[in-house]
Amino acid sequence: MNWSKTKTIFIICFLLLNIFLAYEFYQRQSEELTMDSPTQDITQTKNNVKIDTEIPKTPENVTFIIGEQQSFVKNDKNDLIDSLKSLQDTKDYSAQTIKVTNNGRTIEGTFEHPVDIPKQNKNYQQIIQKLIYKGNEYTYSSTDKDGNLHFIQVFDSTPVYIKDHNGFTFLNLKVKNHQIISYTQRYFVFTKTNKVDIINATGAYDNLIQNNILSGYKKNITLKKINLAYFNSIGNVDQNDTMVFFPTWHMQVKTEKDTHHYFVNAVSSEVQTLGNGE
Amino acid sequence: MTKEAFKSIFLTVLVLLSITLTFSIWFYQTDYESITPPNTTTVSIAESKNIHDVIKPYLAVNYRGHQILGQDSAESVSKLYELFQKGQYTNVSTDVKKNLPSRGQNPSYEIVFPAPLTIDTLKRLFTFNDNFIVRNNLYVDRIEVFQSNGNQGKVTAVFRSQNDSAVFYASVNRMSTKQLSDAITSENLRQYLRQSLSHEKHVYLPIDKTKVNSERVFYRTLDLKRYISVLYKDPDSVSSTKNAVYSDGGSQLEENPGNVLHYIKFNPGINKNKNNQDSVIYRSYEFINGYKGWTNSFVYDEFEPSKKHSQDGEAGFRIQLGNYLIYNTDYLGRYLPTVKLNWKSGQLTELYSTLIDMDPIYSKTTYELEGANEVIVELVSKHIQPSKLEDIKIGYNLSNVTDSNSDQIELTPGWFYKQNGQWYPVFTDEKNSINRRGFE
Repeated sequence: MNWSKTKTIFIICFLLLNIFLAYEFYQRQSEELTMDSPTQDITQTKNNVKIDTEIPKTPENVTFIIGEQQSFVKNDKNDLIDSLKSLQDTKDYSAQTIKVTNNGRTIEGTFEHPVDIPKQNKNYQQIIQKLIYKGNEYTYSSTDKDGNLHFIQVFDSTPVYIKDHNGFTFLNLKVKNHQIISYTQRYFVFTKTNKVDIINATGAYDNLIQNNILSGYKKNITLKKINLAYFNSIGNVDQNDTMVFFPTWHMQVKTEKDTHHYFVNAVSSEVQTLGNGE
Repeated sequence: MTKEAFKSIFLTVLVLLSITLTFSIWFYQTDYESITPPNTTTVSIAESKNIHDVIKPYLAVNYRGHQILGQDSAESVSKLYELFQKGQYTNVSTDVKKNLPSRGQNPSYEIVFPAPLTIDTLKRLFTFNDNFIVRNNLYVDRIEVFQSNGNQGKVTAVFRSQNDSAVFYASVNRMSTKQLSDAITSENLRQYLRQSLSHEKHVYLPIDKTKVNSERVFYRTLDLKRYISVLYKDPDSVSSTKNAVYSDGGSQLEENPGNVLHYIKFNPGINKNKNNQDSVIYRSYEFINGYKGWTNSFVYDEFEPSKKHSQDGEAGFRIQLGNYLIYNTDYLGRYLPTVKLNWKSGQLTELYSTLIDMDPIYSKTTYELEGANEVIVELVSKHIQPSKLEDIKIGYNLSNVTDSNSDQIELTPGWFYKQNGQWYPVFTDEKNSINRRGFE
């Protein structure tokens, strides 16, 4: 018996066997990784998001609301409604000239004496309550790149957002040299309608993650705020239709470069954005 | 000598490596802790419902002498139905020629179901103290309660078929007509006309005009794929075509035009469960309840028993909004507001189910619908004989949602009649007298 030849044959056999076994072992590990991947992406995104706010409880008796734009004029002669007339006739620092446009549904006010902007955002509220018609029903929303201040309307302590291709704003204060010089305003009359079952805030947040909305941002993602709001469905603000607003979870997400606003429809779970870089 | 030593060492290493690899593969265990478990496929679409919330009457009738007063407010009808449920039915008799109370002497109270009920379904809805048998082909769609000697005497319930003839009757404990009278009375109680239709079916129609609001509703569409795990025991065996038709070889699931699910089983074979004595109605309710398929406020409204086997046939459920049911009068969209099941050999052979889920947003315009006589006159003027119709009802018209490019639709009220299983509007739009009152 040639022991040397036998060893060579055994070496070749075991070499082939080991290649086969190594391949099998690799296959098993790959299967595990494949099984892991779908949820891992979601979990990874979820782990990347820091939640820097309290998740609110779902309020009871949530309803749809409908809204119609109020006309600021009394008749065909475009006479201002009394509240605006008295605002226009004021002789103090809030004296202003009010012009009506858009079939009486928009007013443009110009202050005779530009008003200084308060240093803190929270003081904006005091200013607009004094200067603006039904100013207490608006709340600060954002400041654009030109320094103009944008406000949204509030109904039943819930902010209302409108998505409009023309960049609709409820109240826009024009700022020049740190002073408010003029403003544009629209006002909606809202009414509660039927009750509706809504998803909770956690469900809305999970939905945002599952839709891979945040997967494009790799790090430093922070959920800064989550609150219930109203958001319009399809509709054109300029057609003077009755507009329907859905209860919606509004999420403010801060990334490395920017702050993003996402709206998860609390009835249909659909994710929407304002689409105007608000 | 050195070469042979190297070969020996190399062979030993290879043998050890093969042992290690074999051992690793043999005892390989996935580290399940590091894997987030995927969401379990839950066989549930929306919610389950109590049988009394699905199989329920749509009208309450109060016979007072020669007057027929009707109440279609869902709230009042529901109150009356609860009282009927609380009653205990004893001394059941099918000898309807004897001791049957007659109308006119004392007021009677009747609840009317949208479609006939089998005896087994009735036994699940009401408490019967006796076991009784009624011929298979007899169905009940209305129950009338009488009380002899005012509020003091014996209470009797007569279970009637669509043509108003008694199927059986029973004594009722724990019920008084005083309670029924209190429940039915409200501002909606008004005079009704009794109209005879096909097969002598009697329907009640309000004599005066009826004011009903149109309703703006939000709808979302449901994903057909969610029904795969509901309709197939082994979802992994289901393959799909490019046109999103799912099949396991024995049955097919697809979306018909207009957001309607259509499932069909090609060859149901023989009845494997002959002991299942549940009627098509209860089996259909149980089937939908099993996967929590009540996406909307559905009400049982259709039953067509098989002529061959008593345990086979069709049952249907229709979406209700407020006091009225929703209809689609377009032939292709007729299943849009419904779930309809067909059973053969004790197995589900065909299913049509809406793929829209609706939430009413607000009431929009008030419509004033014609009274009973105007409805009959209109039908006759169109050469439609009421005696050939299967039903006449007030309801909401749901147009095909594919016609709308929004996520909202408006349901408009109107009169509808049923002929050959299909619903049609009695009046064309321009004939509906619209009283526009705006939103309140």
